[in-house]
Amino acid sequence: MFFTRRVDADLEQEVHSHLEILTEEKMRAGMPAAEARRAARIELGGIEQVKEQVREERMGNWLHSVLSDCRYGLCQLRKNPGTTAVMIFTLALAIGASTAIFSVVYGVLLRPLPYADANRIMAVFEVTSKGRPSRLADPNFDEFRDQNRSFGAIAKYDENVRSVSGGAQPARAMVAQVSPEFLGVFGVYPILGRNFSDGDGKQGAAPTAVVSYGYWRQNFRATVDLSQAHLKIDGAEYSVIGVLPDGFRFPADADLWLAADLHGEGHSRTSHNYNAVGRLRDGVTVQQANRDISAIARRIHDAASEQGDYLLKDAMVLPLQDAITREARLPLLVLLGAVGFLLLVACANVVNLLLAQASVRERELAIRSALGAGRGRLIRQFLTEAFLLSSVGGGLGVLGAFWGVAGLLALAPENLPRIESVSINIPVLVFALVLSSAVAAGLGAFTAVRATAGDLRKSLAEGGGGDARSQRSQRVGQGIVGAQIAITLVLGVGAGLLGRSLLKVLDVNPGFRVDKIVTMDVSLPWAEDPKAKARQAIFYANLMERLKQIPGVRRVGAASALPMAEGGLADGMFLVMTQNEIPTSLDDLGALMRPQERTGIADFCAATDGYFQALRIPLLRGRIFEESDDANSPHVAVISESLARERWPNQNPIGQTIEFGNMDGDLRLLTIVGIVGDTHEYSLDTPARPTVYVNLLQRPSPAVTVTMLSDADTQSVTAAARGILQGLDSEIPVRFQTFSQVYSASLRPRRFNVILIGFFGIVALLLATAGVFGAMAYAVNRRTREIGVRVALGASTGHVLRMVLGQGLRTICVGVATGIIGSLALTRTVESLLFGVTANDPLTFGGVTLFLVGAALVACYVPARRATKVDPLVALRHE
Amino acid sequence: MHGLGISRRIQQITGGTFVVKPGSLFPALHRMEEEGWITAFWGESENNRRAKYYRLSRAGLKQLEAETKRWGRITWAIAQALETS
Repeated sequence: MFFTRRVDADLEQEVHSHLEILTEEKMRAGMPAAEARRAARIELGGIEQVKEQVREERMGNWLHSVLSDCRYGLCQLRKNPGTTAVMIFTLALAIGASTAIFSVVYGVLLRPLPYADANRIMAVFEVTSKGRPSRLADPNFDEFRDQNRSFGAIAKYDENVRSVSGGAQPARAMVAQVSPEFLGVFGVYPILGRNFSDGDGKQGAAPTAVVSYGYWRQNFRATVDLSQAHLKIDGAEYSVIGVLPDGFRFPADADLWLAADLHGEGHSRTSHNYNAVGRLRDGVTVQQANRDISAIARRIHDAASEQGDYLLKDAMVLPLQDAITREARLPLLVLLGAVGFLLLVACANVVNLLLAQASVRERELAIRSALGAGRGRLIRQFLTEAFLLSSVGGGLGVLGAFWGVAGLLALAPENLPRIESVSINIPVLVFALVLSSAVAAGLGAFTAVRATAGDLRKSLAEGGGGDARSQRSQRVGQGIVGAQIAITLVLGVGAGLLGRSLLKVLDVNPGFRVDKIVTMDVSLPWAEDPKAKARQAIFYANLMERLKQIPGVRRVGAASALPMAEGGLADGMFLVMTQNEIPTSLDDLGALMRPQERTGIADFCAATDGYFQALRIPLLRGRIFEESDDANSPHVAVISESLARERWPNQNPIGQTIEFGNMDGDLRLLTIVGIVGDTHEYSLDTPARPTVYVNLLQRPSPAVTVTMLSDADTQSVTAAARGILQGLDSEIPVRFQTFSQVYSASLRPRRFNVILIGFFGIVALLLATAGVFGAMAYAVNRRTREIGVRVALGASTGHVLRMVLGQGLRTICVGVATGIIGSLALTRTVESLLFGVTANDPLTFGGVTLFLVGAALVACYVPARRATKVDPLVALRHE
Repeated sequence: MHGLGISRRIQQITGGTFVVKPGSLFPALHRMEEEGWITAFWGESENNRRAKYYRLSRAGLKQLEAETKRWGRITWAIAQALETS
């Protein structure tokens, strides 16, 4: 096509040889050599000119033909502006949606983590006796750290929300506690100041903190001198020793990193306090690291004095990116599959439209073929048109995708990992480009092959296409529509199953009321000694009293965590024991934890009696907390129904005493005084967990959520409560929400999936219906002559209808059957996302099928009716 | 036949009506080669000079038939038009 150097040299030789021969001829005719040469040159007309002309011819030829294809294609598309617009819109929609979904998939799953050599960073987990991954206990981490041979650096970390003051104003911030090697694992180092040293992480060391870039700018006004930078966290003074580069906020958008173990390390091998990450040594593979860590874990298991379900059984190593994105993987891939189906349905529509257009252009194609255009040339014409369509559609689609991605991010559940790396970036644009090209190539090739199949010149002679050809192209068209119907059915079933799951989840009784409750998150500094704790209890009591005075507030309560809120409750093992068995220290308690009839497992929650009333958690037996349960009386607890049922199946748990001091450090026994109803702590689709509720006023917890049931509007309650809290202590940061906000946030992941797949399903349905309509109208058009003949011969309207509809019905049936088979095979992949419905739920299958068949029949009916109105005289003359 | 020979032959056969200059000959030859109607090879000319020779391909033969038929139709049509007017 283009002028290669070899062709150029070839031409050069050819022209020269031509010149030589000419010259010799003249010399033989008698001319002297020099004159002969000159004459030959003149006759040739200049070597370079000749070469140039050939070159232009070649290049011009190619360029010329491409440009003329383009011009011709544009002309063609402009001839049918309506159809062209529909095709462009359809392609834009499909390509845009695919690009938007892909940008989420890429940002969350594919894009590498923003750290150096991020694929060498591993997450380390313990594995429980049930085979599930869990966090690490301090002594276990120490052994992993000291005995491993696979990691260059390994660190532990934990994060929670704490109240921090000393910055611009007291506020809640995400604070991470890390071991000294933490930043080294990520290859991130402070841009100002210094990193943690080994000394910083020891018990009793001066408290030090490292801050994030954003926090430094906001609270320290980007000062370069850190010697005066101090923060007060939980009552202790921390000096800021370093500032991290912009963009690093691992884990969980942390702003502050503190050295861990300042209060000493825990000794228990069953308190899983930390997560762990490590960077693999050069040359070590993930499998090797796994074997290494697993061996250490099993050694610990066999030698440990503590035993039982909470002790690790094994350990595993997983690339950090996989660990973070594990849960999001299936839903996102399902979404990608769904949008892929939508793309297929859209392309099928466009193909059918192009084929219909091509059949109208048969004459023109035949003429071009007769004039010398090879089949390749015609195919190129179709490809050009397809590329034109696809590039415009793709371009519009990408523009739409910007808007689409913004919408997706707004709709997405908050716990979608790596949501900050989702954007329309170069890889996503490349994807869009490749997709558009693939679509264009597919559409163009398919149309071209179908349109130029067979002997084109015959159609010239017969004036409009033989019957055999039109039958075959009709069958192809019907086949495409059938495929559309099948794919739409699969999408519809998927959307239906997920939708029904959502409805079933909403049906679950959460065990508490949700509306009219204003929540207030309060965090106090951590207190260990009994006097400080007593002060906290008094503080809470005061707070509750004053909040009750707010006009409109009917009930006030507090609990260490609300159901379905982020964070949740800690769970642990408790012991049933009597007064004379109380251990004197936490370590002694650890030694007693063995699987016997005396242990039980439950979530631990500190609450007030107002909490149960505010949330309408029913009291089933006994009593909740009363005024007489104060700091000096025996500690009391209520337990949830499921705990009573599981742990004390044939006994009355009321009156039993349990030891649960491993959760909050207070070793006094708890006497069970009542049983309350179950609540779904984590989410509606996981079963209610056994819970022990202790009295907040006897065993205060530093972070609580206050719940206020009120008839007054949220704003006034919030303002009043804020005022009261600040009156009591101005340094405490606070956060307000309504419980219904918290509750619906927990449903967001499900809603996200349902809305998106439902949207794709509906769009696919519309496209498929349009496809059926189009194919039907086209078929009727093709058979106009035949219908005219039949009517002229006396066929009734009904007969014509049945004839036309029959064809359509066949296609619909085949499509539906294929779709059902496909759905049965594919829904198995989404089984883990379902709730309350099976993957083969007949109600969903039946409903979607009926709906789809109905829509398709309606789409068939309209052109069929038009067929019956055909005037035989007109029809017979129709070509 | 090689390029020069072709143009000589055309001149000869048409009795001098068509003289194909190299400026038109070479582009035309190259276009036909591209379309696959003729194939080229290097060989030795009558006076032992190297020259590029061209041969008609099978596709070229078909094209020739087609063009011939077409030309026939056109001339017949024109003749008819002239006759009856």
